[in-house]
Amino acid sequence: MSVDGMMQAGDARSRVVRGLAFLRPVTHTWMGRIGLFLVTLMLVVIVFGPALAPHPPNQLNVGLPLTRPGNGLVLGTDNLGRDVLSRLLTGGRMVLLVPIAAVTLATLTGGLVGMVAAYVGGLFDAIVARVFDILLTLPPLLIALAVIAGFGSSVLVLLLTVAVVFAPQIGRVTRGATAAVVTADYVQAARARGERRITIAVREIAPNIMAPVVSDLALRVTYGVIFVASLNFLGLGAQPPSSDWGLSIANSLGYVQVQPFASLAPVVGVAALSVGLNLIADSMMRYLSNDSVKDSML
Amino acid sequence: MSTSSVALEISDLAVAYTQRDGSLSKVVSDVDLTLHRGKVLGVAGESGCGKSTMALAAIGYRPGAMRILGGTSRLSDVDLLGLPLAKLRQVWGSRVVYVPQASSLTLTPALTIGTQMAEPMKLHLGLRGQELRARQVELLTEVGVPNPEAALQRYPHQFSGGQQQRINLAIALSCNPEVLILDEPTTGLDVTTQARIMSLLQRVVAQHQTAAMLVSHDLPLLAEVCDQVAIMYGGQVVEAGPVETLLSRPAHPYTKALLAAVPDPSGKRALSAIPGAPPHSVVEDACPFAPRCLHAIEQCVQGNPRLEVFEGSQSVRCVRAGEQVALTIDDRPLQLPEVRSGSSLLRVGDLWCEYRSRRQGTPVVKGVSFDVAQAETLAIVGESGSGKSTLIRAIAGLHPLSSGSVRFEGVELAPDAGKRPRSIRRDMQIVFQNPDMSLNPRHDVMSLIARPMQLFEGELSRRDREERVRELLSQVNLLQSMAHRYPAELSGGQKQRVAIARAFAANPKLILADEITSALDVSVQAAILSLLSSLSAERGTSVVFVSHDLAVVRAVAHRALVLQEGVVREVGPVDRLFESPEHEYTRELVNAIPTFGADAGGFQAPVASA
Amino acid sequence: MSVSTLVSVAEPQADEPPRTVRGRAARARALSRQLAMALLTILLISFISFFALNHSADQLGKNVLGRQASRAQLDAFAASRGLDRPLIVQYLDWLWHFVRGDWGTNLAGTQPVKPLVLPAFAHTSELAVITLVWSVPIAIAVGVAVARRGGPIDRGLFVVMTVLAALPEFVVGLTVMIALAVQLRWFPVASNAIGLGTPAEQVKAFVLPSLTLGVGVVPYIWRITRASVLESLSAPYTRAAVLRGLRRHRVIWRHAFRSAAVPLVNAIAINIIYLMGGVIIVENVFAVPGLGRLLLAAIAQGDSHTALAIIVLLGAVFVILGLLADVVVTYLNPRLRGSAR
Repeated sequence: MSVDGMMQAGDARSRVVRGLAFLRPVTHTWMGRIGLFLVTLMLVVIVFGPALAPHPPNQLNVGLPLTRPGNGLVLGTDNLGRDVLSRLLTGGRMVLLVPIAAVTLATLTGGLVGMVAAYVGGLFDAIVARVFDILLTLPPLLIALAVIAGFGSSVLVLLLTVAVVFAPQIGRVTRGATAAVVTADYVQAARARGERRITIAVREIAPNIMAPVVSDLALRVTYGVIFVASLNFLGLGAQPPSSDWGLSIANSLGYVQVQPFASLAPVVGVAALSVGLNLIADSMMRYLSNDSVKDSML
Repeated sequence: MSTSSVALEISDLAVAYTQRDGSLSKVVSDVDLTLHRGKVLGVAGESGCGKSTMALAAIGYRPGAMRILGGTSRLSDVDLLGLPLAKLRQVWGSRVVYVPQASSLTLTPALTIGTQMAEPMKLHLGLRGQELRARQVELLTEVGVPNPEAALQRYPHQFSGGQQQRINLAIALSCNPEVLILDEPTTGLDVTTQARIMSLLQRVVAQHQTAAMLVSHDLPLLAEVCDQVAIMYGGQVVEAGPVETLLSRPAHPYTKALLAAVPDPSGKRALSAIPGAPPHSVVEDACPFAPRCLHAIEQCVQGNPRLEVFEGSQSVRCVRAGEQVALTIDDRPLQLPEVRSGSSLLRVGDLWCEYRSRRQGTPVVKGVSFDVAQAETLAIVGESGSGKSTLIRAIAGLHPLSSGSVRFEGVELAPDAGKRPRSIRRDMQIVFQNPDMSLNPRHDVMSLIARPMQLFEGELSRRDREERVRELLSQVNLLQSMAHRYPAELSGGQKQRVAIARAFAANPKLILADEITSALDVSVQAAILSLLSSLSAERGTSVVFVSHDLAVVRAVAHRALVLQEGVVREVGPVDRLFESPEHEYTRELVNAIPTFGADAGGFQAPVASA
Repeated sequence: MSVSTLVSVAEPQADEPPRTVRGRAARARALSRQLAMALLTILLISFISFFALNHSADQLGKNVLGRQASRAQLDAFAASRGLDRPLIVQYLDWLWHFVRGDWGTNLAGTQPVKPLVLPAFAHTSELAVITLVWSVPIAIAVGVAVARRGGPIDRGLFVVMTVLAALPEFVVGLTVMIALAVQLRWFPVASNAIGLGTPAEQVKAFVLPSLTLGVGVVPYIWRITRASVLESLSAPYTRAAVLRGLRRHRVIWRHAFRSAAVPLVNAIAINIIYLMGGVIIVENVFAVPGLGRLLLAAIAQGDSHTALAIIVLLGAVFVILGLLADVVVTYLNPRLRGSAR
C-alpha cells in the first residue's frame, strides 16, 4: 500500500481534488461514497435542523394526537400532538455528539495507556493488558445500566459511561498496533542509535499506528451512535420531553399501529447515521487492509 | 534421449495475470520444456521471472487471476491445459504431484499427518484400513521420518521444517506419480537439511523413474541435483541444456551474470552483481535482458530473439550467442584489505544470553568469546537456532546479557544501548536482515539517512547534512532522485543500500551486519556484499557479519566463527576453515555447500568461454 | 554431477528437534487460572454494581413508603433493611446470602427476588439460545460457502451485511414489527404471550424477537467467518490440498475451515457476549417478559436486590460463555492440545 504513490498519481489533477485527497480512503469505494453522503446529510440535518423546524419540537397539540401525514404536517403528529418533522429535525444532536466526545475522551485515556503500555513493556504492560481483559469481559450494556442506575441519567453521565465502555476497547487496539510496531527493526535501530523514548514514540511509532487506529476510531463512533441511541431508547439517556430520536422511538412504540411515522421518522434518522458511519469505517478499513490476496483455484 | 522416456512435454506455453483494471499482463511466454523419466529438470532465474507461475501453469493450475493464453502441456496422451477442473483433479495428486516451497504452512495445521497423507491415497488409489496404514508407514520410513507410527498421529507444528518437507515429499510420492513439480522446496531450510532432502529427491527419482521439475533460484543446488537446466528471464526460457555444459560453458549473458553473482566457495573470485531488475512482464519487441546486459548492441533492442540451438542440445535466446564476446564480467580475484594486527576494537568475553518466554529463560548464547581487530571482517556462521542473531543484538545493546562482557576499544559497555555514551552509539552501527522492517515506512530516504548525523553531529547545518546524504547515496550507487522516495517505492536491494548508507552516515568504526542479504536475490546479494566490502575497506571499518551461508562468508570475511547451539565450535581464518576444518560440525557445513563440478573443487568463472 | 559432496540421508533426527508441546499439567494450570479469573470477574461485577446501584437509605425509604414518610418511619425502614450499616458491610452481607441461594426480597419487601428472576431468566435464555441456534450456523454457512473474494454474490452480501451490522436492535425490531406484525399481521406486536399463552402463541411470540436479535448476530459472524476462511484459503496448504486432487468441498470444509476454526470460535464467543447485550433492548421492544425488562424496571424503581441479582446472573452467563469458548478453542487448536492421545 503506497499512499505516497497515490498522492503522486494525483499530481496532474486539479488542486481541488488534491485538497480532498485525505478523503480518498473513504471515497475509494462506492459504498464509502454513499456513507459519506448519508453522514453529510445527517450532519446538515443536525446542524441546520433546529433552524428549519416548522414548529417548536415540544409544542403540544400542533395537530390532533397521532394524526397521520397530511394537512401541512409532513410526517403527522405523535401521541401528544407534537409535530413529528420538527422533532426529527431537532432530535439528532445527542446521538452524534455524545459518541464523538466519548470516543475522543476514550482515546485520550485508554488509547494513550495502551500505547504507553506496549511501548514500555514489562510489568506495566502485563498489568494493563490484564485490566483491559477484565474490563472487556464486562458486557457494555450492563456497565452502562449499572453506572446510569447509580449516578442517574444526564448527558455527562452518558458521555462518561460510553467513554468507560470504549476506553479498554480502544486501548486494546492501540496496544496491539503499537506492539506490532515496537518489535520492528526500525524501532530497534532507533534504540541502537540511542534515540530518546519520546523521540522514538513520536518519530518511529506514532506515524505507523495512525492508520489502523484512525480507522478503528471510525468504527467506534459507529458503535457509539448505536449505543447511545439504544440507551436513549431504554430511557437511560435523554429524558422527556427531549425530542431525541432514541427516546422518541420508545415513546411512539405503543402507537405503531395507529401512526407508524412517529416512530419511523426517528428510526430512519438513526439508521442513516449509523449505516453511513459504518460504510465510511468499512471503506477506510478496506483501504488499509491490502485486499489483494492470492486466490486458490477451487 | 528416446521419446518413450518423455513424461511431460510443455510447448509454447504463455500465461498472463488479470490486473486490477481488467487488462492482461503477460508473465510467461513461449516456453518449451520436456521432462524425462528418471531425470530432474532445473528451472532457475531471479525472483519475478515467472519460474513458479510457469511450473504451476504447466500442470494446469490456474487460479482466478491467472489466464493461460496458449500452448500445450502433454502428459503422455492428454493435454493438461485443455482438461476441465474435474479431470485435472484426477491427475493432480496421482499422476502429477506438487511439492510447495518450504514454510510452516505447507501442511494444513488443523489436521494430523495421518489424515493428510491418507487423503490422496483414498481418493486416487482407493486404499483403506490396514493396507492404507501400512503404506503410510512405508512412505514415512522411505523419506526418513523417525518413528512413523507415532508421526501419523501428530500435527504439522510438531515437526521441524525439514521433517515437514520430508512429509510433503511422502504425500507427493504416495500415489506413484509420473511427474514431480518442486517449487523452491528447500529455500529457507538450513544447508545441512537442504543437502539431505536433495539427496532423498535424487534417490527417489532414480528408484521410481519419476520425472521431476525443480524450480529454484539456487544455481549451485541445481548443478548438484539436475540433469537439465533451463534459465528463465522475463517469463521466457533464455537458455536451456544439459547441466554440465550449460553451467560450465554458458552462452547467454544472463546465465553468465547469474553464475558470476554466486559466491565462490573456493574463495578465488570476487562477487559480481547484475545491475537493474528483471522486467515485470514479458517484453515482446526486444531482448528483455538488453537494458542490464553489458554486451547489448542495437540489434538487441530491435526484436526479441528466438531460442536457437547453440551447441549440441544447448539452446540460447541471444543474438550474440555465436560470437566470441569479450566478456568484461568482473572476474578480478578476491582481495580483502589487510588487517592491522594487534589492535583489537571489539572484545566479547564469555557472553551468555537467554531467550525469555514467560517465566523461564532458555540460554541461546552460551559463553561466547571473540575479538575483532580494526578493519577486520569477522563472520559469525550458524544455522537457524544457533543464537547468532541474539549474539549480535546483545552486542548492539538490544538484547539483555545474562553474564559476560562486551568491550569496545577497551571500555566495557553497558548492556542497554540507551545507557551507552553517545560516542559508542555512533561508532557502532547495526544493519538488519530485512530492509522492509528496518526502514520506517513513513520517512523518506533523505530523512532516514540524515537522522544519525542529526543525532551525532548536531553541529552540521541542514544543508551540510543534505550534501552528505547525497554523497552517501552516490557511494551506495543510488540515484540522487531517490532521496525523496519512501521505502515502499524502492526494491529490496535499494532498501538495503539505504540501510547501509544510514549505517555509514555516522562514520562508525564497527558495523554489525545481521544476515543482511538473506532476504535478497543472489544477483542483488552480490551487489550488497561488494558494497559493504568496498565501503568498509575504504574507511577501515570493522564488520561483524552474521550469516547462515558459508559460501557468502568466504567472499567477505577475513575470519569466521562457527556457532552451533550457542557455542563456538571453531574460529579461524576463512581459508583455513574451508580447507582444513577441524571441528566435525564445520566439516559438515562445508560439505553441505553445493559446488559446481565436483572435481575442480570449485567452478571456473564462466568468462569468455563462449 | 555428483552426489558425493552431499551428506548421507541417514540421520534425519539431526534436523532441528520438534518444538515442545505443553503438557497436561500446564493445561490444567492454565484452566484453573482462567476459572479463578472468571470468578474474580463475576465478583468484580457484583461489587461495582452494588456500589453503583446504592441509593441513599432515605431515597429508598421514600420510594417504598411514599414522599410524606416521617423521619422516624424512614429510620425504622432503614434499620429494618439494614441500610443503616456501612456500605461494605451491606455488600458482604448481601454476598454471603447470595452465594448461599438467598437472593433477598424486592425493595418493598413484598416478594422474594428468586421466583421473580428465575422464570425471566428462563425466557431470556430461551430467546438467546433459539436465536444462536438458527443464526450462527446460517452465518457460518454463508460465510464459508460464499468465501470467494470479489464475486457478484460476495459484493452484494458485503453491502447487505455492512448495512445490517450498523442497525441498532430497536431499529430492526421496529421495522420488522411494522412490516410483519402491523402490516401483514403474521405475528403479535407484543410477545408477552411467552410463558403464558398456548404453545402455538408462544412459538409465534418468539419469532420477531429472535429474528431481530439474529439480524444483529449474522453480519458479525458472517464477517469473521469470511475473513478467516479467506485467509486460510490463500495459505500455501490450501493450494497444496487442491493440487492433491481433493474436491472443492473437502478443501474448503476440511482444510480451510478447520484451520480457520480456532480464530473463528474465539471471535464468535467474544461477539456473542456483546450481541447478547441486545437481548435487553429486544425484550423492551417486543415486551418479552425476560431479564432485560425486569432489570430496567428494577433500575427505574431503585430495587437494588432484584437489579443486582439480574446483573450478576447475566454477568456470570457472559463470563461462562467466554470460558467455554476458551475450552473449545483449546480443544480445536492442535498446538494447545498436546501430543499424547
